[in-house]
Amino acid sequence: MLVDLSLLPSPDWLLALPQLVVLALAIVLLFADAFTPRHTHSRVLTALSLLGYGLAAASLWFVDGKNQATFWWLFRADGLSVFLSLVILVAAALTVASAASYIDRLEGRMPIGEFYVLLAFSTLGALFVASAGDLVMIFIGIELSSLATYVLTAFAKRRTSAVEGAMKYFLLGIFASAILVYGMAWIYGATGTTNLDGIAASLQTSVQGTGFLEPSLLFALLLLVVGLGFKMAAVPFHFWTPDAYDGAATPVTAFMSVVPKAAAFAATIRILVQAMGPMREEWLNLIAALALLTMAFGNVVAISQRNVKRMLAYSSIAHTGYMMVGLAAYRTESGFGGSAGAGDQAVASLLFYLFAYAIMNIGAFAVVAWLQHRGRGLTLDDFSGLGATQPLAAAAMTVFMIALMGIPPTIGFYAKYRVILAAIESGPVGLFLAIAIVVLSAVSAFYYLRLVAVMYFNEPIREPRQTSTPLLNAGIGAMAVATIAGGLVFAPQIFDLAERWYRALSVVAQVGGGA
Amino acid sequence: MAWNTLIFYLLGGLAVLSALGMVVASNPVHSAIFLIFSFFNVAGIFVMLGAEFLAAVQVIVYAGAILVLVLFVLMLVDPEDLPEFHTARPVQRTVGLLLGALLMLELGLAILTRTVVGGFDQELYPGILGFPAIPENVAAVGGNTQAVGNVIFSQYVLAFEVISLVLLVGVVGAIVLALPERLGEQVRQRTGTISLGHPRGTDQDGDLALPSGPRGETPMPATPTAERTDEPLDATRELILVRDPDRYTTIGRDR
Repeated sequence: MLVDLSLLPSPDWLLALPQLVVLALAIVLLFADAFTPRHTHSRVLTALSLLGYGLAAASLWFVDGKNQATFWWLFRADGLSVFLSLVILVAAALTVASAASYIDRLEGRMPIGEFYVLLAFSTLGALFVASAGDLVMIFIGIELSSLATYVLTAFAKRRTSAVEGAMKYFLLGIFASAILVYGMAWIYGATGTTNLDGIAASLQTSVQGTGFLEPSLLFALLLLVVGLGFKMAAVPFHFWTPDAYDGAATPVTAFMSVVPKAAAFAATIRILVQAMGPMREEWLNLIAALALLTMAFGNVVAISQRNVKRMLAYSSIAHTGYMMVGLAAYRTESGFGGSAGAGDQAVASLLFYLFAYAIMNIGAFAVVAWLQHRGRGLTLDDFSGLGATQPLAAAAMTVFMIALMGIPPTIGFYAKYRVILAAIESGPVGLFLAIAIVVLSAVSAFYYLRLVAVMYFNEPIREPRQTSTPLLNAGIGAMAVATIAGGLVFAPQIFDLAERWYRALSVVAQVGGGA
Repeated sequence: MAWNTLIFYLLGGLAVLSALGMVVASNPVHSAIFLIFSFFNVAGIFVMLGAEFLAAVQVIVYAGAILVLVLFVLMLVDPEDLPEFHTARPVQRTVGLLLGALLMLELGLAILTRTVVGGFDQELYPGILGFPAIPENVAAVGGNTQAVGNVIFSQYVLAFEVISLVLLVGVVGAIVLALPERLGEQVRQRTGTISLGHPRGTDQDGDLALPSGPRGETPMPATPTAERTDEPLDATRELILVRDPDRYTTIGRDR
């Protein structure tokens, strides 16, 4: 018998609790959208969303420390999945906080129920990628996440720029998916399995054997890196990014600059580090070159942008580059199934950067949305004199800008510091990348500080419109406080949590028993 | 054995030729027909390999569903309205040809040298059943349709269920995007050209001067709650055929 169904163990549903909570949230939202009375509609749905993401984040406590795989190795609950799920859920909740009033009031009347449903499904897809144990799950998770994000990008469908951005994102995204799945097919053909640990074990024997590496594996690696590069907006594959970010409604931009990127990095860590770790000599230099290109291009092109959303889009490309440096610094000698080594610092720094980036980047977009509520546009000039007319908003934006730049009291500094540290420790290539980060951060200071200068030193152009956006205000406040407190107080604790990612590699030894 | 080889080369050759014809044909309907023919040949190869299930799926899903959909869309569009493809500059074409040849070379090398690199250690993974999918195992469950069914509904059941969520997102998304904001509203014709290879907007004019008037995208209309308007954006545009490769994107730009 190929499979004797009676012998199959039943899956451990509790391990998938965060995913199940978000799935339940999506279904409940679908029904609540239809049955909630009109005058409380928006508030009820917002409260439900926040509650759902909160519950899902709380349920991570049950999963934390389990380090098990279930659903026949398709699903894993390990250190990596817990940390990435935390980042994704925090980002989703912050998006809800910054989106509620925007979707309800601006750009005509956008259907808020469908918005929250698609947001939940996109989050769910990213969560599945974060805890995938199999190439099949990674691909399906990415598709679920992307498909919902394509629709969200076109959500402000009255503006042609939104439709254009979504069209570009969709077409290039499905090309990337096709390339990615082609690479996965090659991996399956070469190793005989789609299971991540199985691939690692297969590659381990082949790499240790003759020293001759299959061209088919290199080809597969190339396809995978191209596909993943599209999804995380690394540089030769970034063409969709500025238009999609610019066209989408601002809270959607905040979301898609973080959650699909987190899903892409989750897939990259799962595939490159966990499954293809034995081939790291082959992919490290590739990632390092892409990282350098991404940082340099993003930072230089961001300088010439006068539209703040486009500027933040290019800045997010640059941040992708910084995060890829963390991946390129991976140098663990112990290999598959091993314990913590120097390489663990590198991936941990990437994970921590992702967390920091989620907070500060959503914060920056939230301030842009806040200004749009008050009748201002998206260009640099719309920010002039903000320090005089709205000192609190200007202060929050300043905090996010200096955090994105990486200046000390903020969480952005600590994240960059960790990445640079890991890069320096990894060797000469890493040292070069570290120097590049420092130089390019100085370049980035130009466009970040220009915004700050415009806010404080230019004359206000017109009187802002008065509106009240309590949830958005609270969200921006929370993110600003978290940006500073994260840097001053909690950074070591969060980094410790990120450092536990390496338990992902030792799941086999704990459950299998045969190792 | 010899017959098998002959039939394989016949099917394979026809599949390649009709795939070529699909690319070369200038009439999109001819392209679609060529594609169907190619799919049938590939299905024949699947049958020869003993993968009857895959062959049936190939015919039902690709030749049946997808190609009918393609033809359906082609019939709905007025052939006069189809945009022209703009050809790239000579440099781009040369570089593209070179890169394509390089990719072809790499693919050929990968195919010629392929092997399964490592054995799969069953003892390490007690939860995974069903490896390896060799002919004896497949025959034991009574054919590969049964084998695929077994695997999908046991080992890959989570993936299978998540795919159903992907379909649900597709349904919700299609409704959100296609539903007019007011019932009875006519969907206006929106045509234009989008270049996938070129970002639009301020990054193309490289003027770095610091203070200046609003540029790039006009600020979006931020209507407050009190004065919500339901007027749809006027998106009616004439069809623009790109003959000059420098005029990339027409949507969202006044011409």
